[in-house]
Amino acid sequence: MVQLPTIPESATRDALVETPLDDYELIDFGRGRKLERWGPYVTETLDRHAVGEPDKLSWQADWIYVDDVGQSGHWQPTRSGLDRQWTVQLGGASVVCRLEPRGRVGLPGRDILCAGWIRQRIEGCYDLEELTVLNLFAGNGYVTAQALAAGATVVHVEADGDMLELAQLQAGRQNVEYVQHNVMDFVEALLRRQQRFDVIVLPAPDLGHGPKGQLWDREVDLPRLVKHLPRLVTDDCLGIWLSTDGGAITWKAESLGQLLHEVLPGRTIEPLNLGVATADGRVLAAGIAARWYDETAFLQTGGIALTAAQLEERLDTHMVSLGAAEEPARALAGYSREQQDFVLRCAGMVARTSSGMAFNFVSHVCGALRLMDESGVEAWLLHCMDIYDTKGLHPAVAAFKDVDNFARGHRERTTGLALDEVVNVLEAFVHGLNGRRLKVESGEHVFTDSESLFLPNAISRFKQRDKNFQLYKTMAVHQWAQTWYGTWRVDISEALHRYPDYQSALKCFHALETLRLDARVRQMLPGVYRHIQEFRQATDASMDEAWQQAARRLERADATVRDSLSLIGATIDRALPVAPLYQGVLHPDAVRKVRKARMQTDKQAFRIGLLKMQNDLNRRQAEQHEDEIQEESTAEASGDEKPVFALRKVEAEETADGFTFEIELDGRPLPAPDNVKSTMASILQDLGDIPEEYLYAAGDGAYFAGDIGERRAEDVWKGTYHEEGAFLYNEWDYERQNYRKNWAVLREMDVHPTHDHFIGRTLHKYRGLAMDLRRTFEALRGEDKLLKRQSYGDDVDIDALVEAVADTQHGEEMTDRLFVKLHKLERNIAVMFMVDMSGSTKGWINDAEREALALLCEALETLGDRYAIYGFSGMTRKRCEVYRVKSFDDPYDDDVKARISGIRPKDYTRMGVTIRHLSYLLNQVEARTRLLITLSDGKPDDYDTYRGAYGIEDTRMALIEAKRSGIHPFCITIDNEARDYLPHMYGAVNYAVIDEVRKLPLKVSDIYRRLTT
Amino acid sequence: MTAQVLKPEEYFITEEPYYESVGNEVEVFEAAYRNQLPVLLKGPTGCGKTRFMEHMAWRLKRPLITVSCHDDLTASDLVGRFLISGGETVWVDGPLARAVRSGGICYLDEVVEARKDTTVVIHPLADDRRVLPMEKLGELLEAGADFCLAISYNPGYQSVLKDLKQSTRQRFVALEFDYPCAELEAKIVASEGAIEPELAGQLVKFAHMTRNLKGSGLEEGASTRLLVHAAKLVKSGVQPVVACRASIAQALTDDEEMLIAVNELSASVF
Repeated sequence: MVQLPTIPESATRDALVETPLDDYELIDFGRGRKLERWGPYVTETLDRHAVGEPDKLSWQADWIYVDDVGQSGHWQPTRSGLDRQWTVQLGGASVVCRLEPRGRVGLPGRDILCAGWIRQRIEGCYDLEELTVLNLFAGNGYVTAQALAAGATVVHVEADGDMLELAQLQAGRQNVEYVQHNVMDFVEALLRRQQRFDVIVLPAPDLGHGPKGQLWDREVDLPRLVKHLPRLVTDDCLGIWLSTDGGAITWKAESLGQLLHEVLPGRTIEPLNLGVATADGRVLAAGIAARWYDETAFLQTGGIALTAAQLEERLDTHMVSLGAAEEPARALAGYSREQQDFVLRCAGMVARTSSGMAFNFVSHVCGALRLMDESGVEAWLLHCMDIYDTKGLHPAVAAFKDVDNFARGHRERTTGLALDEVVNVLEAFVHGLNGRRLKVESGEHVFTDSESLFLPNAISRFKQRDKNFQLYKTMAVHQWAQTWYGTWRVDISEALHRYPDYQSALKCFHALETLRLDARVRQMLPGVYRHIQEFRQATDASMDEAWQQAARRLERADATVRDSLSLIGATIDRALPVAPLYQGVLHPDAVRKVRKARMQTDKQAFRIGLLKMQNDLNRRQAEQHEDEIQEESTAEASGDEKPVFALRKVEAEETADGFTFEIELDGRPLPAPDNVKSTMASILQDLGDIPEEYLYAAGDGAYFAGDIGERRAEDVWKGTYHEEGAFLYNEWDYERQNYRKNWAVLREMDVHPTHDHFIGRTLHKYRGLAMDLRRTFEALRGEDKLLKRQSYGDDVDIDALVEAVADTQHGEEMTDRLFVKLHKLERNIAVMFMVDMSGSTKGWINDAEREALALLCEALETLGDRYAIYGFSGMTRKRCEVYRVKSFDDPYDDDVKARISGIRPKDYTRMGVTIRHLSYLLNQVEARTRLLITLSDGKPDDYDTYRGAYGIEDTRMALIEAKRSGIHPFCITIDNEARDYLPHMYGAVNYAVIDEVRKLPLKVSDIYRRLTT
Repeated sequence: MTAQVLKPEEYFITEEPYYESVGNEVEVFEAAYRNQLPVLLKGPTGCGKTRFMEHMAWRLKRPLITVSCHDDLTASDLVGRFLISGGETVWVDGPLARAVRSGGICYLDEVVEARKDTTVVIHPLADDRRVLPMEKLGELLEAGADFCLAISYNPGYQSVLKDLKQSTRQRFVALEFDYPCAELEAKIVASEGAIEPELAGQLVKFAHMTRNLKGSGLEEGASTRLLVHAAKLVKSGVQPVVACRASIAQALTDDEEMLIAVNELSASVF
């Protein structure tokens, strides 16, 4: 049991209303009375806090409250013609000043302070639509009015009928419920109803009466009421204001604070002494208050550091096991408030992915904070989470423990260049150079496996960042050159194993290859070579005669990797020249593995490409020579002649070898589509040639790697999965070139909503972007177009008028279309979003998808286009599922937002049937333009045979069917390999690849905007 | 040299505009012209469509009348209208009518930018009727054998709201333009920019690198036109890398990282 500290007296602060403030001024006070100016009138009345001597000797007032014996006094005017009720301006609102019994007029000082704070709390919150305020003992309605002005809805509870009437005058009737009730009874009714509020205002009187005479005694009732507070506030409670007139000795600000602390621990409590100040600084006490609020949700800094108990309270929400947060909280208690907030924020973020990781984070974060600044700690956290995503739990735990190492590396990084900063530039650079699209990743050593370039995480060798960057560039170029100039065309390890010492043979080979590659780079990229030369100085100086001879041999333009291999014998016994900085190492085994897999897929893709080309050609020929074919086909079919593919070499400067191939079928050249060309380029890069066996179109009884052991879907899903109430769709079998009737069974389901204010959080996280988006889309929506030649409008169209007059003179009738009109361009667009919910989206991708949707919905709501969002997943053809997040008719309400938040990764990706079903839904909407946009992370892929070519072809057919019905499909994907199959499915211009998941939220709205203007 | 004022139908091209054939587009165009078929030029920006039209106009010795299409283009902008001159109404031909009357070549550039109800004006000219109805005059203008209609557009990043209707497309003989092969492009750049072939070759190599990036960061690669710009800058004494930066990189993209990457590419070639 954690010991809750009591609120110390030192924690109490003063909160003052400085006057003059708008129309109000406290002029003077003393001897139990005060002099105030409310707008045009000066009033003098009682105030039991007004101790001491007044400043002025005589007071001039318009209205004086005369205290008769006992409680009932009356207001005395000092001249005739004065109003008893008037309005003044205060705090941006009108305040009704009425002369009340018991000497009250205008507002008590505490109301001004309370309203100011409440308004600030409400306006600081993003989720404006939902805010509810409970105002107990609400009095004259000023606080209520301010809360309403800030955008909240209010329940205003007040027992006094006159006061209630004044309040209604003050605050109006919109969004406010007036309740004339005894407070304790009403609160109990609220508890029974389980109604909760985001803000509670509780200015408790010391004594009072309910409307039916029920007694309120602060001593007894206030603690009771405060005990109910936890059940009256929402999870996102923005604040509680508890105040009272400081009475005698028992009621101090700290005691109010303590009351709140005992029932609602773990948050910020500010005890306050309230007061009103005159122009020259004398303060009239106005009661005491305690403000309760939760700072961490809104990242407000400033304020006292949290105690271990408070920290544990907040960390516990992220932990799985009880008490896990105790030690970390204790360690964290010694840090500044900013650092604590930072840690809590990060912990919350991590906990969304895994609470185990959150625990590891908080356990080690203090060590991290000691060694690095906040940006360093953030980098460490991201680093560990990356490891968690890619390698799993245990390596991530180890990474969290290894703070020291990381910090050291971080220090290096801040002086040097981090790979992260330049990876995009390097990837684009290498991609521009040509060849297979290579990824740049960080690795322990510098090497390539022929699909990725591994570079160090950071380079801080040189003092200048530019030089460090040039080193990165030359490393990247060198690795790229290995793939481009054919270092890996032969089986290196096999060739090197012939030597007794494999390792030294490998090093020797590498040095030779570097000579050869550098010579080629020198010829192709002279700019890069200048840097290479710098790095090579030591190397060149250390080459002996044998090496120099080898270098001369390898510098010839026709040198190949075999030449390097052949020279090993001559140089292996000589001293190895110094390896240049950018050289890295060779990993033949890694390359072999990757290459083998790639060659398989390339071969298959190429053969399928040939098949397609052949089919296209046959189809075209059949259309052209319909009659002829009738005669000839019977003769031909009887023969055994299959069409023969051949390759013709053509010169091509762009390729490394200087040539490429054109495909010929039966001696006639056949143009190849882009994806076949790129596959061919990849094969050439690997092999330097296209082997004979590749030239047979697929389908000749060939063995497809992807269709091993065609498991029947029925076997997998044995048992009754009844098809009642489901939709049946055909599926396209590209081998048969025909549909499988009613093959796929699809059901519509709803996403299970998760009410966690995900949308609000996302919008807050991207608030800058969300504002931009809103502005951009607003501009789109209301494009005020100037329509010319209208029959009526705001202004005369001079061009039309000139023409009309000319026409009239010529004897023709004058048209009436002579005006210009400002017209909002009507957008008549309906768009259906198809969101990939397959298992592969787990983790960052799922988050990014949901965030992208949140931003997109904001944009679409602004724009006014009709839209629907459906997720899709499923397993096998018998269980295809489409999850409704928002249908066209649904308004964008809380349920929809909760469903967006509830999108979770599920199973597989059977795209064809989904497209067919969603097209069917989309076609039921009346709109001039219909869009089907897919958000996906990869290829179509299902548990049974729905993958590879089959999946792609069926998806493509479904898209063609959609296009035929007038729908424009578009695909947004994060799969880097998408360029290989997306043009084939969606068309050359109807897709966009986003290379980083993190950019998804930003780019999706941009793409939508470009599509529809 | 002072600016000249020309009537469009008098715009005969007397000097041969430099144009390198990429395939057989010249023969196809001439064949279409002889057969009085209209022509559609498709291709990315800066790959020679307009230059090709000038070349063909010179070759066929017909005046070339170009209209740049935009959203506000109306039918009367193309066909003509009555104007008041000195108290009298006077019919003034639009560029399309002028071209038909004088038997010239009318070239509508970026035709998808115009509204669809304007584009249909060219339909009667584009099928075998070859007439231009002028409703205001109550006349039917028949095109002579010399008249030729050509339109162009860039099929690139299509918006669903702006594309060419089938009823328009299918009246035309379509020629596809693309960037020429490396050798040819280098020749063009060397000739237009008056620089050495080696430097032209390097510029073309750089252009190919940017075209590899199309779709993964760049919307379009560098067009031949940009290369000519860069060549001209180099000829005037600007450093090649600086010329590439100004005339090519900055013209292609505003994205910071892409700019750095493209500039690194140009720095590695020179």
